[in-house]
Amino acid sequence: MMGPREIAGFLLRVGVLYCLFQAAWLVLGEPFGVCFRAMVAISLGPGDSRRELSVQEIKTAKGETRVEIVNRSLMAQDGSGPVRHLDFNARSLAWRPSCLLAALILASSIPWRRRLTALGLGLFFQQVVMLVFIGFAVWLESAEIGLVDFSPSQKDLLVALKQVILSHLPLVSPVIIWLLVTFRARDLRILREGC
Amino acid sequence: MALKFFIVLGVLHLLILTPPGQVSVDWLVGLHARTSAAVLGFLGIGTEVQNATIVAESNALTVIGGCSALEIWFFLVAAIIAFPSGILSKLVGVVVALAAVQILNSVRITSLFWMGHYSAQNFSLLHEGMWPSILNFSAILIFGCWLAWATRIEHRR
Repeated sequence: MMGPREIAGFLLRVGVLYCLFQAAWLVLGEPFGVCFRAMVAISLGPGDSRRELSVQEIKTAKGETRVEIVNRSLMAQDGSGPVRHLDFNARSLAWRPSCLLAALILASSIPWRRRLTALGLGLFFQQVVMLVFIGFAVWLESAEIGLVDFSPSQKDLLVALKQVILSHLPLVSPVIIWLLVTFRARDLRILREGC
Repeated sequence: MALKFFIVLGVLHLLILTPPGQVSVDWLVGLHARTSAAVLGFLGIGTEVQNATIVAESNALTVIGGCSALEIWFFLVAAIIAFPSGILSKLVGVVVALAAVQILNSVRITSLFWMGHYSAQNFSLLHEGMWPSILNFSAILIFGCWLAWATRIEHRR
């Protein structure tokens, strides 16, 4: 069982690593933004017979990515018609949770081999969670241009759900993924028995 | 443990959607605005509070529901309740976590207003860059401190 001294050491390591990874945004923010847009574009795809999707960079804001949703059936022949824009911030949605996850995993007192395996797996799952959220947000926004139909109460519920997920994504998802990929059942049993 | 965590988190979010929950959030953001205005006054920046908006001659800052940091406290409550420990340890953890998160959030709002007042071009760096990271790490730190304390208490018994 971890004692207070071990917990303090762990928290110190997490703090230092988290600060370092956050500072790396200044250097890696630009290439990460490119990767983020590529991941979003690949996961959403170009759309289908009814819906057209495009992913663009917002030049004026570093790390901001815009997803444009078009309902093909509402577009006029000259290309005009209603479109929906959804902006996603690569830093808050992907970089920050990934930094927290990496700090938690690397600060854990387990063998390095397990740490590195957990880091690879964890970062992969973190991106999957983020992309699922973006897919959900795009699907929800599609209702505004008649691509999906919701009753008012369904829409209120889904918008509230989106807000809840968005508010917890940067903290809850890295912590849960950290626990899942870093520890084995035996480790958690020791922790549980100790307190 | 994980199921309990998500159930508590879900229940807390449902409670906040109820009319009394909304009143509590409004009261909390008003309290943050008044606390920050008092601290800013102490720092020599004259402000007045209109509902949840801190107003000075040069700038104004509205504290909205999303600025209450309640989601950080909800995370902590869910984690503390889900973790196997005594009821007294949990109760102390929940109360101390609420106080710690809300004090930190008042510091955040005060610093954001201060930044908007003296260096508006750096406001977003603080608002979107630094404070979300500080709040996230604080949640881990508060839970870790509670865990260390709860472990020691349980071992003494």
